[in-house]
Amino acid sequence: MTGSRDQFRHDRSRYERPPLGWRCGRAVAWGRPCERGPRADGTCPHGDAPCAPRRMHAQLRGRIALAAAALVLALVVILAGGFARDARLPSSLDAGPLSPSHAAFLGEEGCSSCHAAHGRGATAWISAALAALRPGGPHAIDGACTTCHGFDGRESLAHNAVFEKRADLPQTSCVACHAEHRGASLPASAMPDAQCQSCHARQFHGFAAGHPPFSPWYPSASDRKASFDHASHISKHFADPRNAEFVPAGQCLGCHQPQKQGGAVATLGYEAACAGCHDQGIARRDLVVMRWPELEPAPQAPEACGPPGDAPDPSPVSLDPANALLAFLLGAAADDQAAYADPLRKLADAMVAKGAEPIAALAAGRLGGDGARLLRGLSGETARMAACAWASNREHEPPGGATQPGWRAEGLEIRYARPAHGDPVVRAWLDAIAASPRPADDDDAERLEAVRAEILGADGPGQCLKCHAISGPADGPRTIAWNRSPAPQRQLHRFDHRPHVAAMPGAGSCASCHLQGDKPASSGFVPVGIEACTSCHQQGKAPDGCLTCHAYHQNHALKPRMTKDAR
Amino acid sequence: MRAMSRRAAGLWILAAAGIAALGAWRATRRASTIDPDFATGWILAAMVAALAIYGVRRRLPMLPLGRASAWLSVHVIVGVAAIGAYAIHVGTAWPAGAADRALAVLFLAVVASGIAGHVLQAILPARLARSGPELIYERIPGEVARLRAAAENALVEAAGAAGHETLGSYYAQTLAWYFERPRFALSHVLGGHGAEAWERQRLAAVERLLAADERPHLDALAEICRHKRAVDAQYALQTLLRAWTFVHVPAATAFLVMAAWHTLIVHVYAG
Repeated sequence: MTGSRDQFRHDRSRYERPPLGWRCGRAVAWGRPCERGPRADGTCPHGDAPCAPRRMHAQLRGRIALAAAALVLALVVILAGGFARDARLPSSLDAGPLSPSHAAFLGEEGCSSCHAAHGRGATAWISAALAALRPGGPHAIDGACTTCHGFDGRESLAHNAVFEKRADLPQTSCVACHAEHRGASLPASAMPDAQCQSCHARQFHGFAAGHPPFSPWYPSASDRKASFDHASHISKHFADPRNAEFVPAGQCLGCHQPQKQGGAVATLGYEAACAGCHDQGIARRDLVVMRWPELEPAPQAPEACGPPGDAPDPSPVSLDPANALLAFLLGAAADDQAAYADPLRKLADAMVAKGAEPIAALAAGRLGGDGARLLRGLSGETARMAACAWASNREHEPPGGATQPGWRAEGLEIRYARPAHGDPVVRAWLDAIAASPRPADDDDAERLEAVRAEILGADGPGQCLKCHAISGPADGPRTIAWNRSPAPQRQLHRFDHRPHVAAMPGAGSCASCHLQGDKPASSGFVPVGIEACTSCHQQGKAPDGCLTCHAYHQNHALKPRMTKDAR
Repeated sequence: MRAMSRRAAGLWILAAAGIAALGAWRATRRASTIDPDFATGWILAAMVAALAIYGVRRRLPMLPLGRASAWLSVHVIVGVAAIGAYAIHVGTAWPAGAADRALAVLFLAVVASGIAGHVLQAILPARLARSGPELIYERIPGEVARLRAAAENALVEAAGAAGHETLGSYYAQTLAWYFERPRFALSHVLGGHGAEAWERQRLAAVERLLAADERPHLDALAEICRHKRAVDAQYALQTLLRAWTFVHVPAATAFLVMAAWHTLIVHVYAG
């Protein structure tokens, strides 16, 4: 009797159940199936009767799956040793071809040049795998990178040395941006813009679509005003036929040499480019440090000056007020004799006794400069003799008639005639006057402003500030740019004039970007806006990737170990 | 059913949101102690493990682990999400290394066969229900044998009753091929009428040669042919429903091995 449970037994029913694993081979061969079917183990229930049981589909599929897995495992293990013998053999360790600069690492050391565990057995593999599972483990390969590559700052800091003091930036690593094993056409240094934008908070589509605008003074680093008036030179002076011999050939390129440098465009310098016209003008203007003012009653000749000569005229030798510089040094109004008489007499007495030293001390004390530099070259005897003359109510008559550049005391003045462009004494005085802080006393401050107007003005000695830029607050300490400003130190930014000049040959190419305008920011040119660049640098025209203008690392170089090994 | 649909819709939305979030994180979070390649790799590995559990669950039907249809829904949703996770993890259409390429090929084989299987499972059951008797796949050979025996019995009866051998001879020359095993598999899979046309043509050809008293036996044979045609359709469609698993399951098993190797290697060679 067949019970309710027995009716589905394989040997009691023709019902064929897939989980059993076997089915009647006759049925598979489209013959009449066996009444009882094969047993669970695939044997025939009829003894020696012909029976050819077949596996059920599920079991057959499982066998194929196991065979596939076993085949893959076998291939993986067998081919794992491929690289150890020959890098050209197929290998299950092959992560892809290296970039050209690293391709040589497949040589003697092979993969172990970068991967420490390569070829060192199961123990090293397990250790390396466990190390990689720890936080930061996947970045351990950075050590292999920095074995050869060096730059300023630590590799785990964003932009390495640039933001070294910022603690809010996330840690990074070499492999966060640089990917290897991408083939010969993709160097490890190549990366899409998205790589940069993945960290930067401000997101945009491209250089021509959303890039932040340049600074309001670009390419200058600050709002420093014109130091060289290109507009008047080009439109006025160079157009004057009388200056024809001084007009630089090649317009902009006659003075600038972008083909020799990248970001900073060199100029020919003052002697080659400016002296032809400007030397005479500079030579005509002397620096008057001291002009003896009216002083009543007329002083008596001090004994230290020697025996008095003819009796002096009782009326004052000078009827002029003090020059602005002397008035400021004395701390009195230039036309207020009552105020300056006493300090002036003391100064004269001191000069009689010590020569130029009291003037230097007074200037250093009032202006804050280096007294020795301010009066460098002024003979003490010259100062003493001038002081003796003035203290005797006489004009000073220097010995000899020739007038050489440098310090000169003559008549009622001590003045300085600059011998050449770039003279250190004039520089020292101008620096001291420009850098002098605003005095607390309003009258004193007014006198300092008078000194600045006289010395630093357009008609001042040397007319220096017509070309040398002065920057800073109008009534505070200011600085003068004596040397041509070096290119602003932009650590993350680079610009190379050379390919631009090469791409746009001709004298007028500079004006493609550097435009003169009503509101110049630097040297008579309006700031360069991003539009000047995006007109060419956009998708499909010229390179517009981040790395075209920006650098991530600073001063990247191969370390000595690498270059030594290469030799 | 409706509640299940809502649950499935929720899972689809959850999976899409998860993959979108993973993609956004991968695109933006580069500078971190968490390496994005490793993070997305482990997420993908977890998804692959979840997909593999479905195969284990199918082998343990006796355990109260939820309805098989729910498991299948989750398997499909996680499988589709794994495609997105794979794209985010790999980041390129075609990896560079030989091992990674092998892994990619296996993954694509699993995905392609899985999608094909899912489409077949969505289409074929309805066609199976329309095509005739519901037969257990393993019993179809027996059913074909039974129909063959029925056809041969009909011929014997025809010969005994009418005394003509025309029908028997014609069966031996033409219809015996038809009853040997399931025929016209491609026509049935494509939904064509090749088998029906073949039957009609053959039966019409012999009908002209039969005496009047043989005609009822031909009608009986035609009815057996119609039944055979339905069994053939069942066989063709059920074979197709099983065939894709012979790609999907072995490819998935091989992929698991290769993925395990990949996981080991990327950790060993991370330093």
